[in-house]
Amino acid sequence: MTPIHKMNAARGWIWVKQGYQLIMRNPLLSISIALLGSLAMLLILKVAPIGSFIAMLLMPIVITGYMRVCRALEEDEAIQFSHLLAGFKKHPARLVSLGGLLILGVVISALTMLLIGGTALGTLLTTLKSIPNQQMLANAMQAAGPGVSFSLLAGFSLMFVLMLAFQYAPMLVYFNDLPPLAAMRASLVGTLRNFIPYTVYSIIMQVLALLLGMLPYSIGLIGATSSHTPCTASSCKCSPYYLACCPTASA
Amino acid sequence: MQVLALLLGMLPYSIGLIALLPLGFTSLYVSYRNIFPFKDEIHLIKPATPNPTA
Repeated sequence: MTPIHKMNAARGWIWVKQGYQLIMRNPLLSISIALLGSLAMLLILKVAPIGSFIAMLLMPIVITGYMRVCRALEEDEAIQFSHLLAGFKKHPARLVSLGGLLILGVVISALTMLLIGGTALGTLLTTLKSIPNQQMLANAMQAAGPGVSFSLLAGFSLMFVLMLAFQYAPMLVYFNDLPPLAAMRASLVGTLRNFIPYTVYSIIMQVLALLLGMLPYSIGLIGATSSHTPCTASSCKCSPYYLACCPTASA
Repeated sequence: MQVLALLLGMLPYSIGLIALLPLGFTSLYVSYRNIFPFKDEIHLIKPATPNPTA
């Protein structure tokens, strides 16, 4: 059983700050590899009609690849584009199974939504494309009745739980050698145990997304403001970030 | 670094959002490292022992 630590609320900000410091160790490669991975996923999505299924199956492998890049950044290793394929070299079957479980979770959420919503939800979904603005969408949802709202709430709640269970699962499979279901369970427990710092982290990321979207012409300057900040994370072999936050750990 | 930042800043149409993608990934990794120790780190954790002077 993998130990799971509980962090305080301030850790949400530290995650963003240290993530930024990690990028600044090699900004060009860390940004370009992230873009390369995303581009690969977008290309796979274009393969009709099974592109979205393949993309979801391979998503844990792509995420693992970028996490391997992060590990290399953390330990001052030379970063290579082949790091992005690390998931194909270690536990590929488990990672693809994780993708399969993700698909299963999405299907179960969608079916739950449709079962609760019934024909009213079906009608709303078919007319969704023809609704021109959000006000009309809200009116259409109101007219569809409370059953539709409840079905959407139930479906999105299940999706939310699925996302929490999935977010750390690829790393737990790759780095901690956990099987897929145990990894999803650990990810869910870890996120729920750290719900407050995770909420702080989510709010910060949403504000950043809003700011980055609003300021298209000067966004790069955000990177310039702290590009001289030295990385405070130690690059020692034994658990740099982990030791920095865990008072009970020692080298 | 300033050159990179300047280049990103010159790109129009919210394309600066590409900066958020790696930040999302790296901060996710940092949070993972904080919450879950690696297998080879588990033995480094000393169990909490009561203070004998307390």
